[in-house]
Amino acid sequence: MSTSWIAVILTSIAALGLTLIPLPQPLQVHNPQWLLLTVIFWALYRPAQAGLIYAWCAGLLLDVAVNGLLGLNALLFTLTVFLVLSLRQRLAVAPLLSQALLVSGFTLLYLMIALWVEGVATDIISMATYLSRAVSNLAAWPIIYFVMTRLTTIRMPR
Amino acid sequence: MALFDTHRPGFNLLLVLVVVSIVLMSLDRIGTRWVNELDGGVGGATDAVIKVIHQPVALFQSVVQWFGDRDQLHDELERLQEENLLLRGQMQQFASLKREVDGLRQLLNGRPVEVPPVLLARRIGRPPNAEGNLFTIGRGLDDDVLPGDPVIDAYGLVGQVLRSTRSGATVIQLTSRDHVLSVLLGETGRSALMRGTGGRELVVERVPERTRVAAGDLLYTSGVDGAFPRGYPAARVTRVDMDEAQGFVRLHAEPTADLDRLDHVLVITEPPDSPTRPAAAEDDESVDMPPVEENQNVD
Repeated sequence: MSTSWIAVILTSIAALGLTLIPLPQPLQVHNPQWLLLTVIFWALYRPAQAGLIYAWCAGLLLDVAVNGLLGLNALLFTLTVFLVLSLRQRLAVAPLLSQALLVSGFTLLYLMIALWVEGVATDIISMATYLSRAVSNLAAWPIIYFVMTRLTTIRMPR
Repeated sequence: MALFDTHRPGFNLLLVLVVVSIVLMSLDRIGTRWVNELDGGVGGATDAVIKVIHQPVALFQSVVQWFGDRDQLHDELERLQEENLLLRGQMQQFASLKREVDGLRQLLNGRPVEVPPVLLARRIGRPPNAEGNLFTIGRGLDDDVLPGDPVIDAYGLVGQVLRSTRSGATVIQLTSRDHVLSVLLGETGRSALMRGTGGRELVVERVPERTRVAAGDLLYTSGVDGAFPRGYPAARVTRVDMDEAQGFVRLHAEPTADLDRLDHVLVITEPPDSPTRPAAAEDDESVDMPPVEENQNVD
């Protein structure tokens, strides 16, 4: 019943190879995302072995292989697998056709977000500067929290 | 049974991974050193995968060659021998010319011309991307192939090394949309920026209208950008778009290198900003001067 790590890793490398096969230019854009599909499969049927960290590593490997923006595919693989794991109990027993439809729906989201992030990343605004506000929010949240709890009667449930 | 365990992923882990990815993307965008090291390190593994996939193609080619026409092979051999003889003959003249130029330069207190060393590399694969203008070669850090090294073929500039791992390197072609280089406009001595369009065409924008450039002129690397040594043919002008209102013209060009058939390429392994650099910089200062003066300098 238990699938070994080796099977997971070997199939992932094989899928990466399938993704990297040089095809004529018109066919290249239609080549399925074999590695993503393999990762989704393992997340569905062997979630104990293939979790978020596995998905992140696979995405990073793909990023490096295609010379893309480092971390983009890693991020999207993680988000996709998170979605799959959240819906796993429903998805794993669904018929093949509806599984395929859902998977293609996930990848549609994936591709849209990838397009958007690539657009943002190539923009003139430095991404690090722009996103640093998230860190400021992290620091500012306790301030807001303490001020608001002083002013109002809301208390943290203990 | 595994199906009935929830295996619901933790939000904390997801958030950590998301933050790590975003930090990685930002650092990659800025170009931090350790991100490059990570890229090169993992790239060794993925280059190996690309190499393995390319094996069947190479095997097929060698089998075809084995069963190929014997006469054809003999013809090919003869042709190559003739070409080799011809090139060697021309090289003798080249050596004496170089000596002469060095002598003349010494009289002018200049530095001797240095011909940078080249390294023959075989193309071993092609990583997929939307434009299809990356390829992988079988020489890496072990052979001193560093990111930024220029890559040429027998006819002209091909591109530059984007990333190198221990045993291989990824090359970006000059036709890529992300690639810009500084070129000299034919005999005028003016320099301009040439960028790729993602297709076969290259574009030089913002060329002053009075520059005398016509279709068929060769564009050479200028060396101003510090990325490519001066004087390699890069592209040939195919079309000049007049833009009367703006006072500028736009040149369309196509690369002189044979980008469709790149089995072997040459990597220029000497970094362009080494000893030859000051001499090149002296020459390049005059690029902004009027073309008349420039002609004297270049010729």
